[in-house]
Amino acid sequence: MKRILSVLVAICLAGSLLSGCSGQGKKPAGGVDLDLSILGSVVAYSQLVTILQNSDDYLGKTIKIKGQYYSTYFEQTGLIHHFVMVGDEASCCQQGLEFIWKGGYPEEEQTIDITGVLETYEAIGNIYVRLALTELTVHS
Amino acid sequence: MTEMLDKLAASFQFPIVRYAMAVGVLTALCSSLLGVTLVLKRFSFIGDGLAHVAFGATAIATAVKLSNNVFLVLPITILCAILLLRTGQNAKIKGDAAIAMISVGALAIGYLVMNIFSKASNLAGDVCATLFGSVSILTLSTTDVWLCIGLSVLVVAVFLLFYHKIFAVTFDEDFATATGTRAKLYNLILAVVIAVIIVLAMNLVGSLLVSALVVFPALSAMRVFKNFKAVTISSVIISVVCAAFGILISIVADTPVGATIVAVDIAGFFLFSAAGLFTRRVAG
Repeated sequence: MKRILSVLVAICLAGSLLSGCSGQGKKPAGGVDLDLSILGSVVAYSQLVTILQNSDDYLGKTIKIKGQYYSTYFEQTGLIHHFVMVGDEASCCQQGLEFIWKGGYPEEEQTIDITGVLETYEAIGNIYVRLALTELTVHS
Repeated sequence: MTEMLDKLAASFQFPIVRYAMAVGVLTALCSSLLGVTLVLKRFSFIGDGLAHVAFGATAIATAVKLSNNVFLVLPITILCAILLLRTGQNAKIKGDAAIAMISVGALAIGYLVMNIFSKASNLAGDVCATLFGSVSILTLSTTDVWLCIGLSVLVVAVFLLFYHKIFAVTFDEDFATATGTRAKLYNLILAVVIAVIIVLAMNLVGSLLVSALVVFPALSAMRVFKNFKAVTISSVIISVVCAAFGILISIVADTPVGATIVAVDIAGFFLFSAAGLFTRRVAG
């Protein structure tokens, strides 16, 4: 009986640890649904990977990210694509997210804060995910 | 200090961080439960060997594009655990040699498979994440979390239900057999449970650091306590506290999660060694 009780306690402990796990947290000020810029690099990278792995769950959400700016020319589309790169402190893992911006773009490898809405677009027969920016700030 | 607390509070708004804490605590709990038995049976290194097997199986699962790696990794790891623990004493290739052979063999095959079949652009990052668990624990899905909860409950239940038998098999297998305990059956159960723990712990600290989760809490507890029950209970507490601290430090200091947890475990070992030395001097 004592052992069965202990197993039940273990199950309750597991359940209590996960309580509230299903929510995405409160919506921060400024209309941003997910503010990754306030997180450390390890958590920010992990959250970005999670967003891209489950992009359907995040479409239409306003996301703020801090990272390094990179751009690259793709022959298949004939366009220059722009990315923000987020990596962990040891640069073991890096993840990029494409974005579009109506204003001027920063210089390569500059640290930027971007805010935008996650959307999909079609190119060369595939569906891709990108952030349509409403704000871009370059760190000096 | 306020900045650190703000960072922690902000991080815990995200489900991935809460998942990591829940899975981290449960994994630490399970690994330390069996850690005492493994250390006493002189099987400390088996965790390392099985983790390498799990790495090889993960590489194969990735190559064949399985939706959930666990369904391939878990059976293969269980099979190897049974081979190592059950046939270890009668096999032509004995204990440590068998572990070494399986360990490096699986590691090499895993890396080879990943290089040949992986189409990922960041192969070095993938290998780094699997070996050192740099951020694996922070990218868990809800399915992974519930799977971990289910397996953890299974491990705790098996340990509690067979506590006396495990105790008997741990200290004197021959005596246990002579007194009617089915030692082979309990060794088989131990092998399966150990394999489950290894697969769980790989997400937390990566396959190269799994042994630390199994060994350090048990050894720390043994510095201070001298009976099986006290060592097991304190080992669980040490392991859970170290894992929770490790995850929190990692979030605040932006360090790799697995390595940080192991570093906290090492600090805990030295702390308990000092405490053990102090209590022995006071007593004697």
